[in-house]
Amino acid sequence: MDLSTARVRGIVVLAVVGEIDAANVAHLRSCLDDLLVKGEHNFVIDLTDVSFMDSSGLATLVQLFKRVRIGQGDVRLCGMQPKVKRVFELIRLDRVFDTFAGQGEAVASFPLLSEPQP
Amino acid sequence: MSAVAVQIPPTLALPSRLDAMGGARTWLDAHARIAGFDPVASSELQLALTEALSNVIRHSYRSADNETILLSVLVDADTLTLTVRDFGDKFYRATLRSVDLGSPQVGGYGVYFIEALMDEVEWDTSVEQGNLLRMVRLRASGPRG
Amino acid sequence: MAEYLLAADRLGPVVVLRSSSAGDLTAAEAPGFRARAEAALGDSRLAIVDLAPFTFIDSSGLAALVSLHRRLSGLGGELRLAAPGRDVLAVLELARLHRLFEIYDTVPEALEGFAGSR
Repeated sequence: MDLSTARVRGIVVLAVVGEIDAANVAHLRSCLDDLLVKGEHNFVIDLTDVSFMDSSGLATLVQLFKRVRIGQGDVRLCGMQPKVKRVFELIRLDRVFDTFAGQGEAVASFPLLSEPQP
Repeated sequence: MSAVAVQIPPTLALPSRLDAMGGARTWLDAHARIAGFDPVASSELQLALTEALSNVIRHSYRSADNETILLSVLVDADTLTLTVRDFGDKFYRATLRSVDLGSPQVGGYGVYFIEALMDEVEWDTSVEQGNLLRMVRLRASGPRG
Repeated sequence: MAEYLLAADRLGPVVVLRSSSAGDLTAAEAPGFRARAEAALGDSRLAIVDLAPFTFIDSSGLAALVSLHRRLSGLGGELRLAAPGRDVLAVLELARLHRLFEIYDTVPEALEGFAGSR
């Protein structure tokens, strides 16, 4: 699994490539933990290139969601492949997360923030 | 003695390591596709398998990485049966709390996924050691949940 | 490729087959095992395969055993299995072959059953 991060309009855009399962989820978690510790609370997780996600991957997203809500932030998702989307729907996470087709839309959906632009 | 058609299911032995799950998915995908299941159905089978293996490794084997897990896939005209055999602690389905879909939880969805994605699921604890998990998927499964 | 080593002991009308190549009976070993077993059996109708040397058996190994069983059944005889290890027995059960074969804990017990055979 590969992770790449960018910051756009004060929002962290994290693109995940590959499979997310119990074997490698700790890597994703620690990356998110580092970002949260730095004070980030708005995220777009780009799942375009995620070919597989199990319950541990979903749990990580739910955990992130709960943590950012404390700081009045949000997590939005984009690019979910149909088979991953199906899994989301099975446990009704489609009602919890706002999802978009691409990064651009997802970032644009956040309300304008007062932070200075990089 | 009359000849009886004997179908021998492909079998795979895995070490009880989380990093072996990807290989098991690939193995299952190949057999599911050979059996005529489409990619979406195969990905659901792979997810059920991943959840089952995670449970065996973390719970039945308490994360010991030197144990054995046996898989087999049996295909017939109507079904694909995936079996997972471990030799660890017994898993009693009845002792699990049911999942509350009303509020998102961090964890506890593994068994829920297995039961939502497969048509018949049975944990047989009567085997001498460990558990025998049998999961059946009908070819003609429609959307569920 | 090294030759497959199979010991064959004749005890009256019964041939007891025991691999000297301890390890797996999988796709790599199954053809050699089967060829040696057929050669060792000759015209014999009654045989026992001592499974003790095998740590693992897969569908190719199972297919070899089934084919030997068919051959002997066709002659009015039988193939029995003895002393499977834990994983081998589990695979036999997974494949439901414990209903096709008579499986004994030891070779002597398997032999006993044959004593009264025609």
